[in-house]
Amino acid sequence: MTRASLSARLAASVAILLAIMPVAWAGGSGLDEPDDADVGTPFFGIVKDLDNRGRAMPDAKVTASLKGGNTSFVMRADAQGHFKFTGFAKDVDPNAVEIACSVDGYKLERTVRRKLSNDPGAPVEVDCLMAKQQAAPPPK
Amino acid sequence: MTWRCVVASALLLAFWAGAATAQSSVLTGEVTSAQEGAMEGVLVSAHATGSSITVTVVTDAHGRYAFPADRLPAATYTLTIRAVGYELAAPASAEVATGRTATADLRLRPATDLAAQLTSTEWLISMPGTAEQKRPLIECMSCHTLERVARSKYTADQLMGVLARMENYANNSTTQHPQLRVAKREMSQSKARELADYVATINLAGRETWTYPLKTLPRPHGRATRVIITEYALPRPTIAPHDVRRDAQGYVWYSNFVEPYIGRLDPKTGAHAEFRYDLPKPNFPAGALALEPDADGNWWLAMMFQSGLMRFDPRTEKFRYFPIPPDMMTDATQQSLLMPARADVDGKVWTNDVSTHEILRLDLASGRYERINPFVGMPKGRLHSPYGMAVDAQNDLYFMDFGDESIGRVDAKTLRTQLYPTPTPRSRPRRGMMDAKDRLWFAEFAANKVAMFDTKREDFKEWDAPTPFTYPYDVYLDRTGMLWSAGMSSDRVLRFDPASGQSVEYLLPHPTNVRRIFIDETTTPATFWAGNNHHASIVKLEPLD
Repeated sequence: MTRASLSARLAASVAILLAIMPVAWAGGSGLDEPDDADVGTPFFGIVKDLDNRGRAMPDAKVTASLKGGNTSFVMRADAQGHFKFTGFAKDVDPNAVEIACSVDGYKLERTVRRKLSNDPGAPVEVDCLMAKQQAAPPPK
Repeated sequence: MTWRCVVASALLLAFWAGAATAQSSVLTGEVTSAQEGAMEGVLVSAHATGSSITVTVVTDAHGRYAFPADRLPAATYTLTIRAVGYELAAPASAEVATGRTATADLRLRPATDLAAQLTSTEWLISMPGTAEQKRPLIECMSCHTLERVARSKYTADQLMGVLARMENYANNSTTQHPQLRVAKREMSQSKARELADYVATINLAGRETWTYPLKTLPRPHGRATRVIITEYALPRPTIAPHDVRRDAQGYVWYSNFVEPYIGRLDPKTGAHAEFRYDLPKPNFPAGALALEPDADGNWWLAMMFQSGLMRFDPRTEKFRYFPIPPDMMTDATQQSLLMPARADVDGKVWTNDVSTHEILRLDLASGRYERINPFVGMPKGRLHSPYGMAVDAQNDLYFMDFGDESIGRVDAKTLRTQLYPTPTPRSRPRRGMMDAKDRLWFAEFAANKVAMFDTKREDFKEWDAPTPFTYPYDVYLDRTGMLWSAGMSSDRVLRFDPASGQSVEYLLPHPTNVRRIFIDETTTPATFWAGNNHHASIVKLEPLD
């Protein structure tokens, strides 16, 4: 990876992170709406089409779940293929959070995961790399 | 007969039908004021002494009103009006007799006490301050309007004590029938201080009048005047109808939020009946919130602080109670919502426990409850509260996380949960319904929006309510694709076309705290029903187009 592409990636990551911060840290104001003091590691990323030079895939379905857990969050990537997720608690190990993506006609080839720093609670970038599903062979 | 004769006969018939309609008014008149001349959008209500029924119509663009003959039997009627900023210049009444049209022209003068006429929505529009400062005030409307807040004379320090007291009233409290929680609640001192400091700037603490102008919403106009509203007064002022549903026989049933009864109204006659159940926990707040039917024609009640679920068979008029077992029970246990609609599929009824933020599922055969915690691993600082419930054909549950911002789905077979955050953060989805296409329509209470979640596509659409600070409580999509909504703050009923974005808002004749709404689709157009939770009446609204 070149220095220029590293810089571009870092700039994009910071931009996405800044975009999610107000949502992640907005406090409730009702007497029964406590603050988000316990919010854990934020996740964000881009859903990319491997068969189209990594172009972003808008409106992809993104699922975040805890390994071995019974609950998952389901959200949609935006028009630029970006998603963000701040749903789990501070004491949840970010390595236990699984991010998966799905788009009709595509399969999830793999996810690429990067922690922005080694600080506890530092945001984690997870990009979903999607590839077109091969049509099933005709029955013999 | 030639085709010309057929057309001529049809035109003649249409003319006579129109003339008959015009002539069938039993009471008409014109509403005027010195300030405006003829006034459009004035609600004129007629109530006969001793009757439980009040009928309301609205003046047209020429200031004229007309009561159809079939709505006012012969009697002497007291006439009242609703037109914000105005009041009747003198008491008004009319003698209605069979076979002739009475006339009562009404003269209005500027109101002597405008503040007494404001809805909570109009108070929120009038009050200075940010949306965040006003947001906690929406909790107040569960028990009373914001006029009480605005007229209070408490200082910020005194308000801290008031808020601590309010925090420990049960949700099912009204000013006529306050009820204390058994399990005490601790409020956030810092948030209470913020609210107290704010309220002390908009109430009458140390001042004679408000420091800000009182703003009002426009009167009904055009389509919003083409409506008839009927209010059925219930026999005790303490009755607090929460959920209202019409059955196949035409009876209207309601849950009583503060007393141990299910109620039944016959809209044809106004006759009222109540069916009492024994209190499972006599020292706890009484009353039930959700009222839902099952496929066998039984009514189910979510028993709030009495805990558990109650089933009522309207044929035998017998109750059966499904208690929460002792190992799941605390003083805070509270079942507010339930969903028995597809218990015929798997013998299971969904409900919630507000105290633990969990979903419960009742197995009808054994009477046992299962617990499902959909919020494992979620931040402790976020309040969750499974509230409105709907099911699909497989009895999979869709619930509205009223504490936060998600729609949840619980698979009936695996109990796995999926949470779908709404596009608008902190929207507090409240109640709604599933349509025949498995689309969940729901109210985003705190976001002032109505919304749809397509359960097949797993995506959302949201629409702003046309008036700010109306806080929709519930929605209902009728067969023509019109979305209905109402709530606790504006005394208005919204009829909204999601396809075109066009809407009409009907003003109700009296302060009306609306919770669950029901749309009767056996009429054309559809008829809106709701309870007036704070003023012991059932409200029927019939659009004329």
